[in-house]
Amino acid sequence: MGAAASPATGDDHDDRVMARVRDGDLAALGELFERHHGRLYAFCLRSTGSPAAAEDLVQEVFIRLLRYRHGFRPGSRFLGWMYQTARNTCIDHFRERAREAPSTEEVEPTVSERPVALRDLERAETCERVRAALARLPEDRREVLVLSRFQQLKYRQIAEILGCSEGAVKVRVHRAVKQLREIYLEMSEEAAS
Amino acid sequence: MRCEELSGQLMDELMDRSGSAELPRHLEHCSACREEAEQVSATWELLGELPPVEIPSSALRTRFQAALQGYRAGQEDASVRPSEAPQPGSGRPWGRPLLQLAAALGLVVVGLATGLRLAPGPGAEMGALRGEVRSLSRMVALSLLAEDSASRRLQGVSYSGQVLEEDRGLLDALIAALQRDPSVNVRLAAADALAAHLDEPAVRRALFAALPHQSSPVVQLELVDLALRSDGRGARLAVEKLAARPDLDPEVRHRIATVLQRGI
Repeated sequence: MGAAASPATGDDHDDRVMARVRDGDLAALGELFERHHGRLYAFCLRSTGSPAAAEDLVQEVFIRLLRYRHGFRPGSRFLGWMYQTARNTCIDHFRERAREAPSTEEVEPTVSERPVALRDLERAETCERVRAALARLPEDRREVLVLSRFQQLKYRQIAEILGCSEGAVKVRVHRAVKQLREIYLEMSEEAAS
Repeated sequence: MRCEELSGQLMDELMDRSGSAELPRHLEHCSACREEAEQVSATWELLGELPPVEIPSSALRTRFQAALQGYRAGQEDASVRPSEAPQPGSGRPWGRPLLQLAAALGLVVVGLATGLRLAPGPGAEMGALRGEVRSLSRMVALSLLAEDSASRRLQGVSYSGQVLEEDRGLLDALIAALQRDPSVNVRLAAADALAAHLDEPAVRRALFAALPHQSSPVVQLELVDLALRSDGRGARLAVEKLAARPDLDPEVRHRIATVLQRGI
């Protein structure tokens, strides 16, 4: 996730930039795009498993930030607001997908995750299985895991995004990891048999 | 430390090594928690094996800039009459594909008109040439709307909206884009383009027929706002039909309640 901006820096600056967007300086959204499109893409990709869907979702998130800009109240935190928008966008995507073609979308391999040499095969298989196990997790559990493990967010920030306590976030992450492990082991057994 | 506190302590430790010093002491004496902690830690580490995501920044940036530009142009169109609207990015307008296309078509028109002036012919010939230019415009618009790339289809919607005055045949194409395009941005742009023709009954019917079937809250909000700008029973019925959907986004539901309270 090299392109993701550090979550610990620039939060106040982001809030000020978003306030400018809200007040009519629409071009300022470009600065927020540059800082956050990488982490948003990674979030959407880990959530959906589809690079094409992730591209569409990032686009949709920024359009929503623009259209709902008046909902960014003074004192709001941009990062949390952005992730809430991203969550809602992903939820809409899953709903739409369920209506159109339930359970038929396969996880698309990305270029970086294809094996490049024989010695990498075992590691690539492990990665593929982890990604497939992630895809099988219920959406809410996958989401909390992606936020905590891949988005470099603090539990406090995740709690703000999800609207619950930090303690509840830790419990949810713990449960998600346990369920992921069960799925992963199941898949490993299936592959071995 | 009690066993019930394992989640919090373990997750703190895995996230940033901030678990309390009691955790290792507890794990030393509690085999159940130790086993659980080992399994969870191993899975947490396994997730770290996933390679970093490659960000398609260039493609994302191109789409974002096109969408931002389209949105700003739409905002300007909504507040200024088309003939008075400032040209977005007027500093280097000919670098934009859409404007290049418009310029090319303009040159065709100028060429045809010049040819006619040099060799004046009957009025019917002029009419036929106008028809050819219109047909060329339509072909360009429909080709763009049929592209696989959402960005190109967005250009198609934008272009169709610009030439709609001269070619009513593109109305159906815009309505189809609003109803069926898989991209939310394209549907949104189609709604914006059609909004300029809200005074036409066919456009109103198409917009409100599309409303209850839209899955994107953004498009729903756009169409609800258009309904607010339109009088009539059809608009109200469409909004009420949308409001009856159980999966409706809370923000849209709130907006509909406000609109209905205000009266359409």
